[in-house]
Amino acid sequence: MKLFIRISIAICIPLFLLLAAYTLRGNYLSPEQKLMGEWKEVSWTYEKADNKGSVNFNDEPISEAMKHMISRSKIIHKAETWSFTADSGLVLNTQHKRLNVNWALMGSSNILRLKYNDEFEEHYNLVELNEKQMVLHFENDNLTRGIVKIIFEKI
Amino acid sequence: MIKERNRLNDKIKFGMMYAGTAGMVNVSSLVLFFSFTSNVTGHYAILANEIANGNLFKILIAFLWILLYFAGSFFSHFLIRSGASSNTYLTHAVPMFVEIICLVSVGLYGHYLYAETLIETELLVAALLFAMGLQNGLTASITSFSLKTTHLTGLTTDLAIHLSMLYKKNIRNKEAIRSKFKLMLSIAVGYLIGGAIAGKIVHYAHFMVFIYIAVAMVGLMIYDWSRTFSIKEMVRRERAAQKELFEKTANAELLGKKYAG
Repeated sequence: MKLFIRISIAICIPLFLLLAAYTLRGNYLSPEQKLMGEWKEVSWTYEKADNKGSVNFNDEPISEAMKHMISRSKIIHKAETWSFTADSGLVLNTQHKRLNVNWALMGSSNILRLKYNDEFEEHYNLVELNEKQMVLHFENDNLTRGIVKIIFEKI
Repeated sequence: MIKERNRLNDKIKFGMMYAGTAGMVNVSSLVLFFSFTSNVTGHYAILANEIANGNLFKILIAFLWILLYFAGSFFSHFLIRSGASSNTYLTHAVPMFVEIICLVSVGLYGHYLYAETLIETELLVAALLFAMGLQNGLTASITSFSLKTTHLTGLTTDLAIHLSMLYKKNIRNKEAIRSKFKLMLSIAVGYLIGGAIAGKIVHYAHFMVFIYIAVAMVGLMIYDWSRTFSIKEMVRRERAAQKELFEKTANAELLGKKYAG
Protein backbone atom coordinates (compact mmCIF):
# COMPACT_ATOMS: atom_id res chain seq x y z
CA MET A 1 0.00 0.00 0.00
CA LYS A 2 2.83 2.37 0.97
CA LEU A 3 4.62 1.57 -2.28
CA PHE A 4 1.43 2.27 -4.23
CA ILE A 5 1.06 5.68 -2.54
CA ARG A 6 4.72 6.52 -3.24
CA ILE A 7 4.44 5.55 -6.90
CA SER A 8 1.19 7.56 -7.23
CA ILE A 9 2.88 10.64 -5.75
CA ALA A 10 5.93 10.16 -7.97
CA ILE A 11 3.72 10.06 -11.06
CA CYS A 12 1.14 12.69 -10.03
CA ILE A 13 3.53 15.54 -9.12
CA PRO A 14 5.39 15.68 -12.46
CA LEU A 15 2.09 15.13 -14.29
CA PHE A 16 0.52 18.05 -12.43
CA LEU A 17 3.52 20.27 -13.19
CA LEU A 18 3.42 19.28 -16.84
CA LEU A 19 -0.31 20.00 -17.12
CA ALA A 20 0.12 23.35 -15.35
CA ALA A 21 2.96 24.22 -17.71
CA TYR A 22 0.90 23.22 -20.74
CA THR A 23 -2.09 25.29 -19.55
CA LEU A 24 0.02 28.36 -18.84
CA ARG A 25 1.72 27.98 -22.19
CA GLY A 26 -1.57 28.58 -24.00
CA ASN A 27 -1.75 32.14 -22.64
CA TYR A 28 1.57 33.21 -24.09
CA LEU A 29 2.89 33.54 -27.60
CA SER A 30 5.45 30.90 -28.48
CA PRO A 31 8.76 32.04 -30.04
CA GLU A 32 7.54 30.62 -33.37
CA GLN A 33 4.37 32.75 -33.18
CA LYS A 34 6.41 35.82 -32.25
CA LEU A 35 8.72 35.22 -35.20
CA MET A 36 5.98 35.07 -37.82
CA GLY A 37 5.46 38.21 -39.88
CA GLU A 38 7.67 40.65 -41.72
CA TRP A 39 10.95 41.95 -40.29
CA LYS A 40 13.13 44.75 -41.60
CA GLU A 41 16.90 44.83 -41.13
CA VAL A 42 17.73 47.95 -39.14
CA SER A 43 21.42 47.60 -38.41
CA TRP A 44 24.50 45.44 -38.69
CA THR A 45 27.18 45.85 -36.02
CA TYR A 46 30.00 43.83 -34.49
CA GLU A 47 28.98 42.51 -31.09
CA LYS A 48 32.55 41.36 -30.52
CA ALA A 49 35.48 41.48 -32.88
CA ASP A 50 39.22 41.14 -33.12
CA ASN A 51 40.25 44.76 -33.06
CA LYS A 52 43.04 45.71 -35.43
CA GLY A 53 45.55 48.16 -33.99
CA SER A 54 43.74 51.29 -32.93
CA VAL A 55 40.57 50.33 -34.85
CA ASN A 56 37.83 49.23 -32.48
CA PHE A 57 35.08 47.38 -34.34
CA ASN A 58 32.94 46.64 -31.29
CA ASP A 59 29.43 48.12 -31.56
CA GLU A 60 30.51 50.04 -34.66
CA PRO A 61 28.01 49.99 -37.55
CA ILE A 62 29.17 47.79 -40.40
CA SER A 63 29.39 49.64 -43.70
CA GLU A 64 27.37 48.50 -46.73
CA ALA A 65 30.53 47.40 -48.54
CA MET A 66 31.71 45.35 -45.57
CA LYS A 67 28.22 43.90 -45.06
CA HIS A 68 28.27 42.82 -48.70
CA MET A 69 31.63 41.09 -48.20
CA ILE A 70 30.58 39.38 -44.96
CA SER A 71 27.27 38.05 -46.30
CA ARG A 72 28.57 37.19 -49.77
CA SER A 73 28.54 33.44 -49.17
CA LYS A 74 25.41 33.46 -47.04
CA ILE A 75 21.77 32.70 -47.80
CA ILE A 76 20.77 36.05 -46.32
CA HIS A 77 23.00 37.93 -48.78
CA LYS A 78 21.57 41.37 -49.61
CA ALA A 79 18.24 40.60 -47.88
CA GLU A 80 16.43 43.69 -46.65
CA THR A 81 13.21 42.26 -45.31
CA TRP A 82 12.59 38.81 -43.90
CA SER A 83 9.01 37.41 -44.03
CA PHE A 84 8.44 34.38 -41.81
CA THR A 85 5.36 32.31 -42.68
CA ALA A 86 3.56 29.62 -40.69
CA ASP A 87 4.50 26.81 -43.08
CA SER A 88 8.20 27.12 -42.11
CA GLY A 89 8.80 29.34 -45.12
CA LEU A 90 10.93 32.44 -45.13
CA VAL A 91 10.89 34.93 -47.99
CA LEU A 92 14.05 37.02 -48.18
CA ASN A 93 13.28 40.17 -50.13
CA THR A 94 15.92 42.23 -51.81
CA GLN A 95 15.48 45.08 -54.29
CA HIS A 96 15.91 42.72 -57.19
CA LYS A 97 14.76 39.24 -56.15
CA ARG A 98 12.93 37.06 -53.65
CA LEU A 99 14.46 33.93 -52.14
CA ASN A 100 12.35 31.18 -50.56
CA VAL A 101 14.05 29.53 -47.61
CA ASN A 102 12.95 27.07 -44.92
CA TRP A 103 13.31 28.07 -41.29
CA ALA A 104 13.15 26.22 -37.96
CA LEU A 105 13.79 27.15 -34.37
CA MET A 106 16.05 24.69 -32.59
CA GLY A 107 17.50 24.13 -29.12
CA SER A 108 15.65 26.11 -26.50
CA SER A 109 14.42 28.38 -29.34
CA ASN A 110 17.80 30.09 -29.27
CA ILE A 111 18.91 28.89 -32.71
CA LEU A 112 17.37 29.97 -36.01
CA ARG A 113 18.22 27.45 -38.70
CA LEU A 114 17.82 28.41 -42.36
CA LYS A 115 17.85 25.86 -45.17
CA TYR A 116 17.94 26.65 -48.85
CA ASN A 117 17.23 23.96 -51.50
CA ASP A 118 18.13 21.27 -48.93
CA GLU A 119 21.74 22.07 -49.78
CA PHE A 120 22.75 25.14 -47.84
CA GLU A 121 22.21 25.32 -44.12
CA GLU A 122 22.98 28.24 -41.84
CA HIS A 123 22.48 28.84 -38.12
CA TYR A 124 21.96 32.10 -36.31
CA ASN A 125 21.78 32.70 -32.58
CA LEU A 126 18.40 34.18 -31.76
CA VAL A 127 19.49 36.46 -28.95
CA GLU A 128 16.36 38.55 -28.52
CA LEU A 129 12.83 38.15 -29.77
CA ASN A 130 9.82 40.19 -28.79
CA GLU A 131 6.79 41.67 -30.55
CA LYS A 132 8.84 44.62 -31.87
CA GLN A 133 12.46 43.61 -32.15
CA MET A 134 14.58 40.64 -33.10
CA VAL A 135 18.35 40.33 -32.68
CA LEU A 136 20.43 37.70 -34.44
CA HIS A 137 24.09 36.88 -33.92
CA PHE A 138 26.37 34.91 -36.18
CA GLU A 139 30.06 34.19 -36.20
CA ASN A 140 32.12 35.67 -38.98
CA ASP A 141 35.71 35.04 -40.01
CA ASN A 142 35.53 36.92 -43.26
CA LEU A 143 37.63 40.16 -43.20
CA THR A 144 37.40 40.59 -39.42
CA ARG A 145 36.86 37.68 -37.04
CA GLY A 146 34.02 38.32 -34.65
CA ILE A 147 30.33 38.05 -33.85
CA VAL A 148 28.04 40.02 -36.12
CA LYS A 149 24.82 41.37 -34.66
CA ILE A 150 21.79 42.06 -36.89
CA ILE A 151 18.89 44.03 -35.44
CA PHE A 152 15.42 43.76 -36.99
CA GLU A 153 12.22 45.67 -36.44
CA LYS A 154 8.79 44.21 -37.08
CA ILE A 155 6.95 45.92 -39.92
CA MET B 1 43.81 -8.98 -5.27
CA ILE B 2 42.83 -10.68 -8.54
CA LYS B 3 39.19 -10.28 -7.57
CA GLU B 4 39.76 -6.57 -6.93
CA ARG B 5 41.48 -6.20 -10.28
CA ASN B 6 38.62 -8.03 -12.03
CA ARG B 7 36.14 -5.77 -10.29
CA LEU B 8 38.08 -2.69 -11.43
CA ASN B 9 38.30 -4.03 -14.98
CA ASP B 10 34.56 -4.63 -14.96
CA LYS B 11 33.93 -1.11 -13.68
CA ILE B 12 36.22 0.35 -16.34
CA LYS B 13 34.48 -1.60 -19.11
CA PHE B 14 30.99 -0.67 -17.92
CA GLY B 15 32.00 2.93 -17.22
CA MET B 16 33.50 3.34 -20.68
CA MET B 17 30.50 1.79 -22.41
CA TYR B 18 27.93 3.79 -20.46
CA ALA B 19 29.91 7.01 -20.93
CA GLY B 20 30.35 6.20 -24.63
CA THR B 21 26.59 5.94 -25.17
CA ALA B 22 26.03 9.16 -23.20
CA GLY B 23 28.63 10.93 -25.35
CA MET B 24 26.90 9.63 -28.47
CA VAL B 25 23.51 10.88 -27.31
CA ASN B 26 24.88 14.27 -26.35
CA VAL B 27 26.74 14.93 -29.60
CA SER B 28 23.84 13.63 -31.71
CA SER B 29 21.34 15.86 -29.94
CA LEU B 30 23.70 18.81 -30.26
CA VAL B 31 23.95 18.30 -34.02
CA LEU B 32 20.25 17.52 -34.57
CA PHE B 33 18.54 19.71 -31.95
CA PHE B 34 21.23 22.25 -31.03
CA SER B 35 20.78 21.28 -27.41
CA PHE B 36 22.76 19.29 -24.87
CA THR B 37 20.91 16.31 -23.43
CA SER B 38 23.35 14.48 -21.20
CA ASN B 39 23.69 17.21 -18.59
CA VAL B 40 21.49 19.94 -17.15
CA THR B 41 24.03 22.54 -15.99
CA GLY B 42 23.42 24.62 -19.10
CA HIS B 43 19.67 24.28 -18.72
CA TYR B 44 19.90 25.56 -15.13
CA ALA B 45 21.80 28.56 -16.49
CA ILE B 46 19.13 29.10 -19.17
CA LEU B 47 16.39 28.78 -16.53
CA ALA B 48 18.08 31.34 -14.28
CA ASN B 49 18.62 33.74 -17.17
CA GLU B 50 15.03 33.40 -18.39
CA ILE B 51 13.71 33.92 -14.85
CA ALA B 52 15.75 37.14 -14.77
CA ASN B 53 14.32 38.14 -18.18
CA GLY B 54 10.79 37.14 -17.19
CA ASN B 55 10.32 35.01 -20.31
CA LEU B 56 7.67 32.57 -19.12
CA PHE B 57 7.70 30.38 -22.20
CA LYS B 58 11.40 29.65 -21.99
CA ILE B 59 11.20 29.27 -18.20
CA LEU B 60 8.64 26.50 -18.66
CA ILE B 61 10.72 24.70 -21.25
CA ALA B 62 13.93 24.87 -19.22
CA PHE B 63 11.99 23.73 -16.15
CA LEU B 64 10.40 20.86 -18.08
CA TRP B 65 13.80 19.67 -19.30
CA ILE B 66 15.34 19.76 -15.84
CA LEU B 67 12.24 18.04 -14.42
CA LEU B 68 12.46 15.25 -16.99
CA TYR B 69 16.15 14.63 -16.20
CA PHE B 70 15.26 14.65 -12.50
CA ALA B 71 12.37 12.23 -13.11
CA GLY B 72 14.69 9.86 -15.01
CA SER B 73 17.20 9.74 -12.16
CA PHE B 74 14.40 9.41 -9.59
CA PHE B 75 12.74 6.56 -11.48
CA SER B 76 16.03 4.74 -11.95
CA HIS B 77 17.06 4.89 -8.29
CA PHE B 78 13.52 4.12 -7.12
CA LEU B 79 13.48 0.94 -9.21
CA ILE B 80 16.92 -0.15 -8.07
CA ARG B 81 16.12 0.40 -4.38
CA SER B 82 12.70 -1.26 -4.71
CA GLY B 83 14.16 -4.38 -6.28
CA ALA B 84 17.56 -4.40 -4.58
CA SER B 85 16.81 -7.50 -2.55
CA SER B 86 15.34 -9.51 -5.43
CA ASN B 87 16.95 -9.82 -8.86
CA THR B 88 20.05 -7.62 -9.33
CA TYR B 89 20.11 -7.99 -13.09
CA LEU B 90 16.43 -7.15 -13.47
CA THR B 91 16.74 -3.96 -11.40
CA HIS B 92 19.57 -2.82 -13.70
CA ALA B 93 17.80 -3.96 -16.82
CA VAL B 94 14.50 -2.10 -16.31
CA PRO B 95 15.96 1.46 -16.38
CA MET B 96 18.16 0.44 -19.32
CA PHE B 97 15.14 -0.98 -21.12
CA VAL B 98 13.16 2.24 -20.58
CA GLU B 99 16.18 4.20 -21.84
CA ILE B 100 16.29 2.04 -24.97
CA ILE B 101 12.57 2.68 -25.54
CA CYS B 102 13.20 6.46 -25.30
CA LEU B 103 16.11 6.30 -27.74
CA VAL B 104 14.21 4.15 -30.24
CA SER B 105 11.14 6.42 -29.99
CA VAL B 106 13.24 9.54 -30.64
CA GLY B 107 15.03 7.82 -33.53
CA LEU B 108 11.86 6.56 -35.21
CA TYR B 109 9.89 9.77 -34.65
CA GLY B 110 12.79 11.86 -35.89
CA HIS B 111 13.28 9.73 -38.98
CA TYR B 112 9.66 9.32 -40.04
CA LEU B 113 7.55 12.09 -38.49
CA TYR B 114 9.68 15.05 -37.37
CA ALA B 115 8.48 18.26 -39.03
CA GLU B 116 11.09 20.42 -37.27
CA THR B 117 8.59 22.40 -35.24
CA LEU B 118 9.77 23.87 -31.96
CA ILE B 119 7.36 21.84 -29.83
CA GLU B 120 8.61 18.60 -31.40
CA THR B 121 12.21 19.64 -30.80
CA GLU B 122 11.45 20.47 -27.17
CA LEU B 123 9.65 17.18 -26.55
CA LEU B 124 12.32 15.06 -28.25
CA VAL B 125 15.02 16.83 -26.22
CA ALA B 126 12.89 16.19 -23.11
CA ALA B 127 12.70 12.46 -23.96
CA LEU B 128 16.49 12.31 -24.37
CA LEU B 129 17.03 14.16 -21.10
CA PHE B 130 14.76 11.63 -19.38
CA ALA B 131 16.79 8.79 -20.92
CA MET B 132 20.06 10.34 -19.76
CA GLY B 133 18.59 10.95 -16.29
CA LEU B 134 17.74 7.25 -16.18
CA GLN B 135 21.26 6.27 -17.16
CA ASN B 136 22.93 8.63 -14.73
CA GLY B 137 20.62 7.50 -11.92
CA LEU B 138 21.46 3.90 -12.73
CA THR B 139 25.24 4.28 -12.77
CA ALA B 140 25.21 6.52 -9.69
CA SER B 141 22.96 4.13 -7.75
CA ILE B 142 24.89 0.94 -8.51
CA THR B 143 28.24 2.57 -7.69
CA SER B 144 27.07 4.10 -4.39
CA PHE B 145 27.00 7.59 -5.97
CA SER B 146 30.71 7.46 -6.81
CA LEU B 147 30.30 7.48 -10.59
CA LYS B 148 28.30 9.49 -13.07
CA THR B 149 28.70 8.75 -16.73
CA THR B 150 26.58 11.31 -18.55
CA HIS B 151 28.39 14.51 -17.66
CA LEU B 152 32.01 15.29 -17.10
CA THR B 153 32.19 18.48 -15.02
CA GLY B 154 32.42 16.75 -11.65
CA LEU B 155 34.47 13.95 -13.14
CA THR B 156 37.03 16.38 -14.63
CA THR B 157 37.32 18.09 -11.25
CA ASP B 158 37.83 14.74 -9.48
CA LEU B 159 40.27 13.65 -12.16
CA ALA B 160 42.34 16.79 -11.64
CA ILE B 161 42.26 16.33 -7.85
CA HIS B 162 43.32 12.68 -8.15
CA LEU B 163 46.12 13.61 -10.56
CA SER B 164 47.39 16.21 -8.11
CA MET B 165 47.20 13.54 -5.36
CA LEU B 166 49.29 11.20 -7.47
CA TYR B 167 52.10 13.75 -7.43
CA LYS B 168 52.52 13.06 -3.71
CA LYS B 169 54.85 10.14 -3.19
CA ASN B 170 53.06 8.75 -0.13
CA ILE B 171 49.66 8.78 -1.89
CA ARG B 172 50.92 7.56 -5.27
CA ASN B 173 51.24 3.97 -4.08
CA LYS B 174 47.71 3.77 -2.73
CA GLU B 175 45.82 1.35 -4.95
CA ALA B 176 42.41 2.94 -4.27
CA ILE B 177 43.52 6.33 -5.60
CA ARG B 178 45.19 4.84 -8.66
CA SER B 179 42.16 2.68 -9.41
CA LYS B 180 39.76 5.62 -9.09
CA PHE B 181 41.99 7.70 -11.37
CA LYS B 182 42.08 4.94 -14.00
CA LEU B 183 38.32 4.52 -13.80
CA MET B 184 37.59 8.23 -14.17
CA LEU B 185 40.06 8.60 -17.00
CA SER B 186 38.47 5.68 -18.83
CA ILE B 187 35.03 7.25 -18.43
CA ALA B 188 36.25 10.55 -19.89
CA VAL B 189 37.93 8.71 -22.78
CA GLY B 190 34.81 6.57 -23.35
CA TYR B 191 32.62 9.67 -23.48
CA LEU B 192 34.97 11.35 -25.93
CA ILE B 193 35.21 8.30 -28.19
CA GLY B 194 31.42 7.83 -28.16
CA GLY B 195 30.89 11.49 -28.96
CA ALA B 196 33.41 11.45 -31.81
CA ILE B 197 31.84 8.33 -33.32
CA ALA B 198 28.36 9.84 -33.12
CA GLY B 199 29.62 13.12 -34.55
CA LYS B 200 30.79 11.21 -37.60
CA ILE B 201 27.75 8.92 -37.94
CA VAL B 202 25.05 11.52 -37.35
CA HIS B 203 25.80 13.35 -40.61
CA TYR B 204 24.99 10.19 -42.57
CA ALA B 205 22.43 8.45 -40.37
CA HIS B 206 20.66 11.56 -38.98
CA PHE B 207 17.99 10.41 -36.51
CA MET B 208 18.76 6.74 -37.04
CA VAL B 209 21.86 7.32 -34.93
CA PHE B 210 19.60 6.93 -31.89
CA ILE B 211 18.64 3.45 -33.11
CA TYR B 212 22.35 2.57 -33.31
CA ILE B 213 22.84 3.85 -29.77
CA ALA B 214 19.85 1.76 -28.65
CA VAL B 215 21.43 -1.31 -30.26
CA ALA B 216 24.66 -0.55 -28.38
CA MET B 217 22.59 -0.33 -25.18
CA VAL B 218 21.07 -3.76 -25.91
CA GLY B 219 24.61 -5.08 -26.25
CA LEU B 220 25.45 -3.50 -22.91
CA MET B 221 22.39 -5.16 -21.34
CA ILE B 222 23.49 -8.55 -22.67
CA TYR B 223 27.02 -7.99 -21.39
CA ASP B 224 25.63 -6.96 -17.99
CA TRP B 225 23.50 -10.11 -17.96
CA SER B 226 26.45 -12.34 -18.91
CA ARG B 227 28.61 -10.76 -16.17
CA THR B 228 25.86 -11.14 -13.56
CA PHE B 229 25.35 -14.73 -14.69
CA SER B 230 29.08 -15.54 -14.61
CA ILE B 231 29.47 -13.94 -11.17
CA LYS B 232 26.49 -15.94 -9.89
CA GLU B 233 27.96 -19.08 -11.44
CA MET B 234 31.34 -18.31 -9.81
CA VAL B 235 29.70 -17.82 -6.41
CA ARG B 236 27.69 -21.04 -6.85
CA ARG B 237 30.83 -23.02 -7.73
CA GLU B 238 32.75 -21.52 -4.85
CA ARG B 239 29.95 -22.42 -2.43
CA ALA B 240 29.75 -25.97 -3.86
CA ALA B 241 33.52 -26.37 -3.48
CA GLN B 242 33.36 -25.08 0.11
CA LYS B 243 30.50 -27.45 0.88
CA GLU B 244 32.44 -30.38 -0.61
CA LEU B 245 35.52 -29.48 1.41
CA PHE B 246 33.42 -29.16 4.56
CA GLU B 247 31.83 -32.55 3.98
CA LYS B 248 35.21 -34.18 3.31
CA THR B 249 36.66 -32.67 6.50
CA ALA B 250 33.63 -33.77 8.51
CA ASN B 251 33.88 -37.29 7.07
CA ALA B 252 37.59 -37.44 7.86
CA GLU B 253 36.93 -36.31 11.42
CA LEU B 254 34.19 -38.90 11.75
CA LEU B 255 36.48 -41.64 10.43
CA GLY B 256 39.26 -40.51 12.78
CA LYS B 257 36.90 -40.71 15.77
CA LYS B 258 35.68 -44.13 14.63
CA TYR B 259 39.23 -45.53 14.44
CA ALA B 260 40.19 -43.87 17.70
CA GLY B 261 37.11 -45.44 19.31
